[in-house]
Amino acid sequence: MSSSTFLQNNLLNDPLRAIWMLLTNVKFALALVFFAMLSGLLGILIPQIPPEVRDNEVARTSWLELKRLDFGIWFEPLDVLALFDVFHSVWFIALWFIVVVSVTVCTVSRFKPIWRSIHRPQKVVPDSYFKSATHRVTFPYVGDTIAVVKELKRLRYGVEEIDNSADARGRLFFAQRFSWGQYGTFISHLALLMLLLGGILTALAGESRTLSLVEKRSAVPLFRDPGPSQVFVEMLDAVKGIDDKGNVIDFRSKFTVRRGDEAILCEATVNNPCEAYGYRFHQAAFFDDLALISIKNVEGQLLYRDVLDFENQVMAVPIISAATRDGEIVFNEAVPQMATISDPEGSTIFAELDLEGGLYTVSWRLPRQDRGLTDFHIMLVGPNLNATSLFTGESVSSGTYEFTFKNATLIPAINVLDMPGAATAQVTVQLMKDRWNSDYLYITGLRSDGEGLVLPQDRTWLSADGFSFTFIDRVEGSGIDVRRDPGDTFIWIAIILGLVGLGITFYIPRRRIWVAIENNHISIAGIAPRSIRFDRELRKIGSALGGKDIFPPEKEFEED
Amino acid sequence: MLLLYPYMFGPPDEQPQRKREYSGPLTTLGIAVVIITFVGLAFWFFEMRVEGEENTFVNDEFGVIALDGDTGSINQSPVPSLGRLAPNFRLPNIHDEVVRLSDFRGRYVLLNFWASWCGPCRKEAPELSALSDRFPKTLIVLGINQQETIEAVTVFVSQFAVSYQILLDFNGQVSSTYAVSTGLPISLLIDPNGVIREIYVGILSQEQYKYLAETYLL
Repeated sequence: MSSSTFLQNNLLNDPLRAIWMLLTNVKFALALVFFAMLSGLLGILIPQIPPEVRDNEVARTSWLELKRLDFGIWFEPLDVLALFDVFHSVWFIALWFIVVVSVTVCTVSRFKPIWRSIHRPQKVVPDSYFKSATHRVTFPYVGDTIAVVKELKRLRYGVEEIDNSADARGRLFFAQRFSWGQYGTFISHLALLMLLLGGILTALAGESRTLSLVEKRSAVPLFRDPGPSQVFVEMLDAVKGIDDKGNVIDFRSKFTVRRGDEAILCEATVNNPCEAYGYRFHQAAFFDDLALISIKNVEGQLLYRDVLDFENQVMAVPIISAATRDGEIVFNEAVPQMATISDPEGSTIFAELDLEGGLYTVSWRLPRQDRGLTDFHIMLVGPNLNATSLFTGESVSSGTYEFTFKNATLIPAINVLDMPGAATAQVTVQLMKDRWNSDYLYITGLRSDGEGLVLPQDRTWLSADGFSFTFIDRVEGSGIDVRRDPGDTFIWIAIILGLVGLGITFYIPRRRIWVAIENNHISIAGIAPRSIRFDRELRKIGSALGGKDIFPPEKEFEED
Repeated sequence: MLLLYPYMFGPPDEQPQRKREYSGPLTTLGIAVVIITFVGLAFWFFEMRVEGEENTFVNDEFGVIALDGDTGSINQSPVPSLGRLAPNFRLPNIHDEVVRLSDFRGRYVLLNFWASWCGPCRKEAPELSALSDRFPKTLIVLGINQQETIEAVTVFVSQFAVSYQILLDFNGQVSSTYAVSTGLPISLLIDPNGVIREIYVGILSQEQYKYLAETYLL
């Protein structure tokens, strides 16, 4: 009888059995997987209705009308098939429901044979099995049955003598060890299912993205598309923890996570994430090259108030100290780049040191990128000081001061286009620290007289045109990894089940032994997984019962 | 004997774990249904259930609404596209007054979708204020804030002395209907008949301000 005829007959006589057959059919399972993958692909390729629009008929119609313009004649068939809302369509949900039912039915259907095998094992085998079993021995035996039982029990087998009164055969025994080990396979299958389920959930509903969050800036949205589930994250405090010796010991961030009118206060580090609304927030990066500035026009109207992000862009500048003859240090800080002259071989940077004894000029060449700061050196010239080249650590005396080029350093610096109120189209902003470790901005291109501007923190500079520039504060920020993995619970359970299942399967496998004693011979046949040397175990049992050369030649062992 | 050991006349099953057995609708299909229900409920409880569903920001009173039966000469359903009627909406402003787009029929409306975290929006705000102040009779500028708190919006309005109306799209429905993601700002010019005439992605350039004024407002 063909399978289709069999299926048709069953469909009429026992429809539930026919459904079971369909659900456990391998070809049907493959077809389901194929359609599930195809529909998922369509849902990714075709624009989907945003969730916040779905439930509003007017909004939904407007959104779909927009797609009608995009898709033209293809719109109607796509809309009829619900391909603009694949993941919420009835057919898609039904498809996955059938997949889940199919997989579950397959797993459940395995349970009963396993259970019966464990709790109602076949205790009697035909005589022919003692001659055909994969693992078997037969040898002369004149001892009593007590010795057989004792030996099997010594090897921790549960032994049962079979009531053989209705049979002409001799005495029969059934022994088994680790009978429950048979569940190992079932548990492993269950683990595989959980792993698949977790993987599907992770792939369909998992999220992972990184937010750059800066102190004193508005909360930023987590998702690209607006909607009721939109989450906003606002950085309150990004911290670089430093110990007494100046070593960085940790990075952490304090921030709020808001959805609707509900907010959660979070603190996260790299290893200790904060959880909010089903998402995990990890510290992923830290940056402190940020300056909060504001610009107002002549009427006092705020034109710009934002954090200027230096975006990890840096410039090389020298740190110079100047000390009087008495040893008093009058200058000890990094010198900003004040002017640049380019020539075919590169650029020369100039800066000035305005000291009591006069104006000193420092110049240096831009370091080659492949050399870094290794050959960085400066040229210093000024009152009573001829042009002198200084490498790191070298000093020179001008009579009034002793100058030391301490080392080169990298400071945050960036070119900004179209800054409101600026005299030029491009200004260069450098974020510096003075000798008292206070932050200030050095800005070139802002003033109409071409001079650079030193703008200390919390100070305002008024331009000739009436624009006011304020360096409000240097701020810090963090990169925050945001993750959501709805499948992780399933995956963790799957891993635990997998370890248990495989551990049982490979290390505590079930062994079954049938023993027949008749006509001064003993026959032993058994079943055990291939992962154990069951022949060796049978031989040991045979040896213990006095058997010699009990295996045929092909059953010789390598060891022992 | 035969009943107890149905396989006694055959060799034992070496791999019972590979068998699939139908043992009746209840014990095979029924158990599967129970397992699926249990796992489904567990998944819903731990992963899908939205805590704080009483979210007051999600308010059905506001959002996209139907036009008041007037589709004008175009006689087509509203679509956020050039030459089509702009979808109507009802949103609160920062003074808790309810504003409908259709209230402004007869005047040009510049819809500006923005947020305070958006750098270009901050740059654009003073220029939009200037535009609004320049054409008070012919143009209404409506700044639609995307899902921020009223505190954040109020601070922004105060800092930048915003002179035009700011509406609060708390649940993002209007933004989504107008196909506006978090790629802000986006502005749409709607004519006195409610038809979308211009769509600007990003901040308006000086040339665009000039064109807008000369073509529509002067």
